[in-house]
Amino acid sequence: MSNIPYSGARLWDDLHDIARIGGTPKGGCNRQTLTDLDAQARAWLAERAAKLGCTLSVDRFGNMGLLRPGRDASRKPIAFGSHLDTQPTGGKFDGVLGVLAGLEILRALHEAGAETEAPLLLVNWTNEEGARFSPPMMGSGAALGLFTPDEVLTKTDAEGATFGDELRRIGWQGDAELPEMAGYIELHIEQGPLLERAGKSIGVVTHALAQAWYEVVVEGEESHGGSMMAGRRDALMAAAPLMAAVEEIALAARAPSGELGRGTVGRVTVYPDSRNIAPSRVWFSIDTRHGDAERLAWMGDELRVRAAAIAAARGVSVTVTDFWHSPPTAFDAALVGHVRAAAEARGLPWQEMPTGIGHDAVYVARRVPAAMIFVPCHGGISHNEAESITPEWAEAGLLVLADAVLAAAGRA
Amino acid sequence: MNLPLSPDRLWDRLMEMARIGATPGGGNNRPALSALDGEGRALLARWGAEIGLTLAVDRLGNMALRREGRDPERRPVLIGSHLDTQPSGGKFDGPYGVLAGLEILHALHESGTVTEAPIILVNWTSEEGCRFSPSMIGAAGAMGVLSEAEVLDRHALDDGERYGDALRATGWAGDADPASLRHAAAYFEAHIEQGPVLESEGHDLGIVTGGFATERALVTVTGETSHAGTTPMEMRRDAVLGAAEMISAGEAILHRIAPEGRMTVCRFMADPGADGVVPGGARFAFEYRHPANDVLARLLAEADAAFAAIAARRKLAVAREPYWSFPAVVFDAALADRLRDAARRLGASHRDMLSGAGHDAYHAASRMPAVMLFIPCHGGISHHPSESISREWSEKGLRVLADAVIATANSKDAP
Repeated sequence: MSNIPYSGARLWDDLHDIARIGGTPKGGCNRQTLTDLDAQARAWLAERAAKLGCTLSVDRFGNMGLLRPGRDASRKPIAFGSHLDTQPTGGKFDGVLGVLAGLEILRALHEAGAETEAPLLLVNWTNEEGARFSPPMMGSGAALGLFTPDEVLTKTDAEGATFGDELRRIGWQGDAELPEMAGYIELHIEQGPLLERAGKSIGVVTHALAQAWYEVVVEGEESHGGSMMAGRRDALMAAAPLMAAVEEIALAARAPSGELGRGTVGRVTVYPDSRNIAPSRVWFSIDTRHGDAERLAWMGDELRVRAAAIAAARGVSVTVTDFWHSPPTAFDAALVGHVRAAAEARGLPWQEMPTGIGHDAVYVARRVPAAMIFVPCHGGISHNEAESITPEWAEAGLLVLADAVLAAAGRA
Repeated sequence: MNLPLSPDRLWDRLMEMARIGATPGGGNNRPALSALDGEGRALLARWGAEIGLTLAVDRLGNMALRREGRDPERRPVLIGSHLDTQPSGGKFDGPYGVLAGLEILHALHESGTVTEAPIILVNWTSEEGCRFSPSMIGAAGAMGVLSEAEVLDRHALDDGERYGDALRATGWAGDADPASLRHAAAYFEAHIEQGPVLESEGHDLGIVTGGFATERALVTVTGETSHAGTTPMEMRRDAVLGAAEMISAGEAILHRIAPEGRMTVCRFMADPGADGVVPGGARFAFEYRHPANDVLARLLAEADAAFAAIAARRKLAVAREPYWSFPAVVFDAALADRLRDAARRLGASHRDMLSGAGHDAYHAASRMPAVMLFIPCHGGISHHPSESISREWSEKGLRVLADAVIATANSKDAP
């Protein structure tokens, strides 16, 4: 397969070319979904794909599909892609790498005059980031039927503009359905520290962690800093051991595979937050993740057991509320096998790993066989203008994506 | 002695004073060195003039209202507290002590009673410390804990206005020497407890034998911000987890070494404080109090060691920066005896206790025998518009205070 002239250098140039659309002074990108800049990036992609003989279809959520015919028109296409929208202070690679690597594959095949059995479909999903219109991964979720069209089109941003109006305003609401996919493979930067630390250039993503988010309210009683300890019902002193328990529970939630859980207290607010007063109320968020749904459920149960014990021991009330939940998602064994084989054949150091965060591929995988490929990013830094990768990592991702896609689609 | 004390007049004056800076919930907002503070001072001055008290205002704004003794050469007995309030304060924190003192002088005036020593009623400037830090700054300047210049050059926390300028603007910058109040024979201060102990135990009064040593600090914990979805637990440097563990460690140290002490963490902030983000920063306000300076020092040393160990294990940095501290205060045993005797004689149930909060009396105690008397407040609630006391508590406090003050002013063995 290495006779196809995939060019890491051309991919690298493309990454920096499109980064000018919404480029920030600090070297990042602010190209939020359904803005004029998003429209410019979409046109940039459509123009280049058209030159390669691809057919553009746009659905009513703005998802773009660029179809390259295969030898067997009766086969469903093998799809690949990601997203071109960014966070307000995003980087140049999150999402963009997956789309532009896909473009480079189409270009190299075109130049080589190579044909595949199944058609190929490059996808740019709308609003993956969820920064302007929440929740994230709205385009892929809607296209795969996980959200209703109304739910998505009526979402409003902070200024009150609706998703549907903004999509029409920038001229990217279509009326097509994206072609039905036989499989989907997404290349993405890891956005975490594992690959770089392990010295691997490819992450073979086997599954997505299940997530359960909770809100915790601890309520006691305000007391003056001079009052005796015995009479106090201090909400913060009660919350502290429960916060610490989040970590203990994550480390105790070992799955048969040896995988541990993850638990995070990201936000904390105390009331009245005033000098000389022990707080009467503490609110905090807990985010738990695990690859094993049963272990994740155990983490939630254990959290409630600990909360009840602390409430009883300290005379406070502790309320743990379910805030959001996402089931675990396994990627397709055959596609994951293609990714693994491609990394191995190319002699690239790789390891298997889960994704701890949501991606379009995680929604797609609920309906269609899917897989993901990670490449490292420096320091695990992402959603940040300082996000960076090396040209070598970008090229490694490109080659593994190309080989896996062609293995799935079949060389004619 | 049968002094014609009027608990009703005291109550009426508390209510009249509370009209100056009254807030919707029944509270008071009469911040130090504001125009409203000036109105409160003027009202006190008028009441003092009506009963022949001589007013002297010092260069820090502290008001001294003097009733002459039979022997003008004898060192005076002071009764004091403060008329300024918290922004969301109540009607009694401070004004009770000032107006109870005024009522004693009023009753002496009405009955034509002359004490051996002069008695001076003091309204200290800016006890609450809301605009001008630290708290009790007027008393600190008068007692020499801070220099006069240091006090005058303090700048307001909100808009940076200079203390000396704010004082002049209210028209209450006097010319008396603040140091003159240092040379008194004794200092009495009646105050609401601002805690729940007296009410919950059914006591009328608290004889305050001392105050806690206190050190308050801002603790900053620094780790590394990372993504909650992609960073395995063992690679994290989570500052909130470290801070939570430090708070629990501080609590365990207090229980092990000195359960009679106090620990309060009144503020807590996670940075960046976002969903899906492992917080790389945390800050909390951490405070220990203990009646003994050496025990407080030991508590703090143990906490620092525990914080450092937690930080090292979690690859975090930790810094505890004290921003307010106060040494322990021991009030005068003989004056406390006088209050106890008076309470016993007047049938007021009482207990000895330590003050958890700071008071002007702490600074007075650095220069002269001093003591405090607490009356209960409902639910221990203070610094809040719903702060309240019963008329019965107010009366008992007044009678016991009067008895002890007059006994001290008349005592032959007085210093």
